[in-house]
Amino acid sequence: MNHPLRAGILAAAALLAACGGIPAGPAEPAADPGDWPEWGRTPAKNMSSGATGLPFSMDPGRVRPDGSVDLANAKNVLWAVTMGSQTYGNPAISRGRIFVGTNNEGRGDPRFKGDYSLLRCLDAATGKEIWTLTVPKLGTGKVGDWEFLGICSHPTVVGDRVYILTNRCEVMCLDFNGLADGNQGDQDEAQYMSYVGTTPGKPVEVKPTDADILWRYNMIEELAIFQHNITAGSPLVIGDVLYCPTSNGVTYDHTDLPSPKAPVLIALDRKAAERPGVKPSEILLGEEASQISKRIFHGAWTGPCWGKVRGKDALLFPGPDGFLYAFDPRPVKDADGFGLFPELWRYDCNPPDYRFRNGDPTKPIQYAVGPEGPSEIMATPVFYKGRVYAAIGQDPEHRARPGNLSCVDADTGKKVWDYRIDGTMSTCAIVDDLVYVPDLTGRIYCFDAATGKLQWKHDTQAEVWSSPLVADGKVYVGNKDGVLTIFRTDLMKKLADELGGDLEAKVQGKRLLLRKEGKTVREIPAEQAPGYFQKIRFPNEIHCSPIVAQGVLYVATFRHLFAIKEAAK
Amino acid sequence: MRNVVGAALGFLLSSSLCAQDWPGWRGAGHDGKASGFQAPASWPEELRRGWQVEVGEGHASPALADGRYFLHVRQGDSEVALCLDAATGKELWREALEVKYDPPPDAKSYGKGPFASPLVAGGRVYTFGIKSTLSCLDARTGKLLWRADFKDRFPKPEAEWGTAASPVLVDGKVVVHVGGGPGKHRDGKGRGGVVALDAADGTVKWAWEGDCAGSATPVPVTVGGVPQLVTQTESLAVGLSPADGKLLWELEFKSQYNQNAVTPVVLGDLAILSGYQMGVRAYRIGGPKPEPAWQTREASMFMSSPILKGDRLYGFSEMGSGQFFCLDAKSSETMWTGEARQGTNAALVDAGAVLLGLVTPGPTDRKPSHLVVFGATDKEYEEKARYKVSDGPAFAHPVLSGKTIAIKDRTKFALWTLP
Repeated sequence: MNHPLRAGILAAAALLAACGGIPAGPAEPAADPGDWPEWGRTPAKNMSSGATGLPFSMDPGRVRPDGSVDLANAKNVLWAVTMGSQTYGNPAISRGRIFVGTNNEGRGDPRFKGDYSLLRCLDAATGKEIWTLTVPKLGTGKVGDWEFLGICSHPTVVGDRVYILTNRCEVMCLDFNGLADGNQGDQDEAQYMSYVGTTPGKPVEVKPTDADILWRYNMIEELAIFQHNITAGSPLVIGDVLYCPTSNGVTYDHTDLPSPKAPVLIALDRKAAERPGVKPSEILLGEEASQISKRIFHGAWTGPCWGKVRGKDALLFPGPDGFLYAFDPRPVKDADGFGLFPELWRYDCNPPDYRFRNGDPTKPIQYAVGPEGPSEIMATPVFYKGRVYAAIGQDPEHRARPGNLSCVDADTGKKVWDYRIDGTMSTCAIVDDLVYVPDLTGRIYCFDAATGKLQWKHDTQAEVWSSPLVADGKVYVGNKDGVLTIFRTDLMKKLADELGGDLEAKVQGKRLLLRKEGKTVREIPAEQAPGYFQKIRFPNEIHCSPIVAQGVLYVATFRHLFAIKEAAK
Repeated sequence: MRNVVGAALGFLLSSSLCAQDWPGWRGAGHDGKASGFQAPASWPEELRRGWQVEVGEGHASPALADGRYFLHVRQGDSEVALCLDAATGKELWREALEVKYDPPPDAKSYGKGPFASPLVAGGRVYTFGIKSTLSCLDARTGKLLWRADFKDRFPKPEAEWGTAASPVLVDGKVVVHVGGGPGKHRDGKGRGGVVALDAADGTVKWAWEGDCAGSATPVPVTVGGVPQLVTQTESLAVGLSPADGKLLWELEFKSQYNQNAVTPVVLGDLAILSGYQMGVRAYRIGGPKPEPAWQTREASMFMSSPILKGDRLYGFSEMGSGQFFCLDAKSSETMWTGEARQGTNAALVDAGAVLLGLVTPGPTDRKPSHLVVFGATDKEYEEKARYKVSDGPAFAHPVLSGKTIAIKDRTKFALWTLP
């Protein structure tokens, strides 16, 4: 039986053939380094920016009973817009537009009642909506498209193209301009938005503020992916190639692995995908063939970073089996004609005693059953000065949090150093040879990138699901309590240098205490402490990572998106 | 005729409680107040443990009536109602029912239940199992008097994360919240509801089928002279008429994972609600449409239900990875917050001048649970005592009576005594 969405793709392809396809358009503009067009801003995936003049203090205002934000008494806030009830998407920003995933709650569009997943395109200057992608739920419930999670994928914007992974386990390409410049590529948006689960409904009236879908690639149909809970991850675009994690994973009850042979990482030809009449199989350039799926602990939600191995380009992929992989990104055809990424090396980010009791290979420890055991890599690795920084962790719901931050030599795949923090989902930020990473328990760590020596740490006191931002001499970390913690990295470095590192920065009352081996070795008095750190309470939990674009800090909470700029208001 | 019998039975049921009893969820008034407890003037260094019994799994809070503890636990594939002598811990009777249950993957760490507290009234015990089987037993003998499983009314009688809302008694009716969706606000079909059954014979008296069960327990209150049953459903807060189940008001109250778990408290016409990452919110419920009064994110409750003392609200917030707090219930002003990182949950009991919180780590954490005693003052967090009472998690409410504190952890039930 033909899958309805595959039928949709083929129908779209037929239409493309009929209408002549997508105009080639002008050459893609180079990414503006002041923007944040992809996860980690650049393919190295380092959560940092060279932006300056960023705000250190702010007040996000108050939430009105209707859920909107009253900015009357806000400070440094340009604007705040209301999102759905759960915002996991993480904003991307390119050329004055914001792209952020959320859900349909509170949207008020009479065409869409109930649970849908959205990608909203907003004007960066005002927060006003330009267009919105509406994706129906798959109807699987928590199994593969968990209710109300919205679009969880971080978009990647290249020129006039926006790439995301939808909750329907599709790789999707959208027109940056929406329908304002006409409907290009796929012509079946009306039908697409009408689906109830896998059944098409009555075509929806398409409005100019709907998204313009150019093409989509259904990973369930084409690759037999069984996505666990939700599809997530960020596409990596290098030239004409789109590298995507597939979200393949275990069953809802974690007892089975329905697609052990499906890839966890694929490469698509994004230019070929725009050709009229192209078949889905013709755009699949390559896939990993390291049989990672057989070893998946949970789900393959995270994409690779881009780096160099022995002077050549390499994909550095965070394995859902806890291994960090280096792949040659140029697929090599196998005997059957499938493109496969040659594996350059793999490194186990789990110390031996995480996988085996007392390190004894005859005594494996089961995953996620107790507080011990191995973890997967959910955080995107970061490539920095010839090394790869990758940390392991697990779904916060597991409550089992063995963690470890590894620094691996990219040329050899061998350990440079590692440090046992708790499990994390956070991608590192590395600036001035210092690595910043929070863990799920809510502690922020700062390490010497070369040696792994702990410089300082701080307890934010609530879970951190997001990644840090380091820019303008500050580190920004949001937590589940909705508290954005900001530390001055230059002042903290000075303290760590003076006091020999290994510090715990503890807030007591309004003072900042620097503690070492249980003793206070420096006290920053209350009147000076606000120059070192700030704690800003936002009205909802923060599960998205703060980002910066064109000198504006963006903080997405669960229900709002804030644009924050020094001296804005 | 039936109404007369019901009224008479209601009187009989309510009159059989004695001052020291803790007959069900959050005590006689469902407000966490332990009236028969003799709190010491100064708290000792240690509590003395008396008897301890391995009773079985689950996080259902025990009940106490007429010198007997009543528990609902899991032993293997059965849910077992147990009656223990309060003085000795000796088992007086048991009644077992096979209930096979496979929790959803994301709730596995909390086990297979049961979670709902038994209710003791009029010489009877009402247990409400993980799959919403309501059993009425003779409190003296354990003999089964009647049983309802709701399978004919709801395709999935248990709440999505396993039934946890406890039964309450109102005017001779046992009220339970049944049904696990998909809920009203997930696909537009209400597949659960609040059901009132005749306490005597289990006959359904009324049912409001507006939404599925969360984990919150309905509480009987009176607002402006009008009796109400106030509760949180999977995605709403509602007020129902206890007489006929008529919906008096509703408001959307959706926390993540469809798991509203906090028992509402009512101050005058102010209903105070909370839920996972919802902060604390107050609504005026005297009219047909609830009006928002205040909300704060300084505190937020996940599973722990707060205690109202005068116009002060004491609770255990999920913020700061678990911390006690005190709010002004009229204005939402934070009076104080305690130290962060206390634990996952605290089951709170009001003992007059002090409050007791049984603070537990996460359900699979290998860390101890502590009974924490702190002053019922709005000046500052004032910890009076802290006792380790279990090597592992303990989510059930401690039961305070005389000079004893009974604590059920994941598998054991122990009686602790004060000098």
